[in-house]
Amino acid sequence: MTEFAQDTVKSNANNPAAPAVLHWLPAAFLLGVVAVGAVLTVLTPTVRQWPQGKAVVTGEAMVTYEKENLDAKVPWRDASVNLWGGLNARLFGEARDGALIGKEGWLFTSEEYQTSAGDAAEIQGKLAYIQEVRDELKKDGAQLVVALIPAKARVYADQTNAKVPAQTEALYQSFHTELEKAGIPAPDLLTAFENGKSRSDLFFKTDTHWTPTGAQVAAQAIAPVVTELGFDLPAAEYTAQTQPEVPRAGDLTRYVPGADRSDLVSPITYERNDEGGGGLFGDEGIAVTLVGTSYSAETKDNVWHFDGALAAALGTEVLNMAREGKGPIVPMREYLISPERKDYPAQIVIWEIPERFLREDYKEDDS
Amino acid sequence: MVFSSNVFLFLFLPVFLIVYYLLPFRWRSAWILTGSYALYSWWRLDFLWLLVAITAVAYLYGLILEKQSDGPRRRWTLTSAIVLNLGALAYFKYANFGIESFNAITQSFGMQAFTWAPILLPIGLSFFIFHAISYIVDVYRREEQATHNPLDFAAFIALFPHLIAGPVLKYNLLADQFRSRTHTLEKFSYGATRFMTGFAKKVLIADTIAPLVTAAFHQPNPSMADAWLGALAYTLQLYFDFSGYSDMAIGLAAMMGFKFPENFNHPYISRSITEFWRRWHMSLSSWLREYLYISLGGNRHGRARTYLNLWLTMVLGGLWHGANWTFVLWGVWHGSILAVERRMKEASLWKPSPAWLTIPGTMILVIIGWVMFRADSVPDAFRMYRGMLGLNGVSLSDTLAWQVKPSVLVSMLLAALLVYLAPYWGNRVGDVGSKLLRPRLAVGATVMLLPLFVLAILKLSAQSYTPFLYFQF
Repeated sequence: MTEFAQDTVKSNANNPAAPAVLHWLPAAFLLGVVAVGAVLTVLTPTVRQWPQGKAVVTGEAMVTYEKENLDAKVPWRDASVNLWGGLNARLFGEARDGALIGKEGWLFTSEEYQTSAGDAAEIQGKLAYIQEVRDELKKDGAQLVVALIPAKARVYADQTNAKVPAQTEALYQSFHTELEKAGIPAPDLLTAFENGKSRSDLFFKTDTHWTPTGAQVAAQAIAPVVTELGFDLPAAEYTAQTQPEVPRAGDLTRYVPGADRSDLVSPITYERNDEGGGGLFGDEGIAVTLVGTSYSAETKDNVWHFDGALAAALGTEVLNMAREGKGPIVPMREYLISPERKDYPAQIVIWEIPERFLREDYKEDDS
Repeated sequence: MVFSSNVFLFLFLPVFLIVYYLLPFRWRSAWILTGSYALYSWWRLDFLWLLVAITAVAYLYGLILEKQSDGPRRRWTLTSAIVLNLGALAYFKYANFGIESFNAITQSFGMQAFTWAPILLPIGLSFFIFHAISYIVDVYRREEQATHNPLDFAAFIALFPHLIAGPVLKYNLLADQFRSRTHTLEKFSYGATRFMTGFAKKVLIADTIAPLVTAAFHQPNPSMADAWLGALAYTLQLYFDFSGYSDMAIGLAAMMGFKFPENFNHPYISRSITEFWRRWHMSLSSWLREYLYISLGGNRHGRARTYLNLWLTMVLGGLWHGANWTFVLWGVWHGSILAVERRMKEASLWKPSPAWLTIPGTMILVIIGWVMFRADSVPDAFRMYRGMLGLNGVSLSDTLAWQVKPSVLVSMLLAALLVYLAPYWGNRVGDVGSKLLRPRLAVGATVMLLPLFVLAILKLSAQSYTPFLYFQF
């Protein structure tokens, strides 16, 4: 074992040869930085507020205070995020954890790259749940259609810098095959996207979501599958109007702070142009319900209007029950117990599921 | 509250230092105690009683042992003190582990598992229990007089620079410093340099490498490249994390006028595992030698018993790091190598070998040990070992490749350069023959450190919260 080195500190204080500047400069610098930081910290309003309703004895209040009132609010936080984000992007071509920088301004979410040992079991669990939902809807006489959205990194693999892990390479096709085996109608959106890529960008370069054109291509691929089911859906006609082009910074730009990145988008809006349009309160009813994620949900950031594209492609009204920030499972669970399911019974339920969610655990906060 | 946090740096530290330097010397122990208890309570107020109780028990036992004359009764007093302290450690740190291991055995025989609510491990417990035991044993051995100053003693046990993650100190090392110590600008400057160095090591290097380590150790079937990259990354991360923490502790102590012993001395240039333990976590190995190895009989009962004692010391030292079989096996690994090296030395089988052979050889043994130390479970560690042997292929897996960022590789390269150039640098700076070079190097290094410290503060704000690795122990 060891002889303990009682004192191996080589103090420059005791070293006459140490330059005099070292006797005061580090102290002055540290005290200066701490003093400036302390003043800026104390001047921050949230730092002077203590979290309410959190237990002090168990440390809950302290954790909340430190994370929410202090760390998230220090005045130099944004500058720090921009500085380090900018440095990493410029020096190493890296985004912050959560995204990857591709070629020619393309950004990808790292969720499409993640893998874990439990993936196979999780994917099987998802398949089993989809079959449960199919059976549950059958009780109402409704037919489930799954719209499995291929991963952006799969459709635009040529724009990625990092190879998508081999174990997920065949995921889309294999899951699609499993759905078909289970007798669940599921349009092949991957083929549709690969064929439609030349028309226009189907996903935003700076966002995880599809473009209005991507949403349209998906809707047009879903329509024949629904038609084949032979349901008599109440007819509706829509006019698509392309809006003027505007710049739009996507959700992935948050992972590359300091860089000026955006897409140019021409939003497409859909308006019913026939004499119907009873909607929820009309007599004709709504025979198609859309359940899904932010790819479908009506939100302020939604410029792709998938529900409109779907209604136009199907020639019938669509009830949108999609939710943002919940993943695909939670909105379906909520729909199954919702009053809308009973009050406005669907003949067709289209469940939009992004491929990357197949391997993820069910979590309330999945986005 | 960790040292590399906004709350410590910009709220706790300025208030503590201002009051500390405004107070007359006789009040400073009380202020140290107040500050240290406040810092501990920031984690959980309801566990402060444990720190206070361990302190009170150790103080009272010191007084009793001082008065008792040598004999069986005094020995029983010591035993009861050790049992009390180790009992607290066993309950809070090892009870969950014991029950889980017991359940694993009973369930393998088809019996029902014993149900029980998991116990929370108070942070720093392993360290302040060791501080208390060292004091009690020193008084028992009459190597140290019992203190009659409960305030200084409580301040020693709770002294915040070493409270949470060491270094593990003996009371006699600081007893005199509590009675009298100097406060000079030079000493403060030295402390500031060490603090900023440790801060930069932790935030700029260890925290940058951490995500790659996590990714590599979670590969279900790591290839040879995955496993070795992960193991090397962890080797660097752990050193920069823990030695960075120790630098900060030593620096903070110096800023308060205390002189702490060093905890690391370039461990990765060791030429044997024996030497490694003279350079890695030196305060712990010293504690283990003085209070465990010697108590087990040391080398006083023949060769075989010496090897066994050496081995047991490392196994128990391994277990001290955490309640998991991985730590036990890590201790077995190091204890076995230490015993073999000792045997080879005694049998004159140990031939001097060149550094280019012994340093990499020792590093491989250390890295193999770190894999077990880092893995979440023993099967996880063996999964990594299978990868290291190339049983899952050789080249980098694409499941890991996308997570191997250039910034992490650059940080690893810089870290490796620092590991192997810093000892050379130290020799150059300390070399009498380089008097002209020395001041320029020292000033140059300090001038480089200052912006790095600011960059580290900014990175701390930019990155998510990352606790110190050693806090789990």
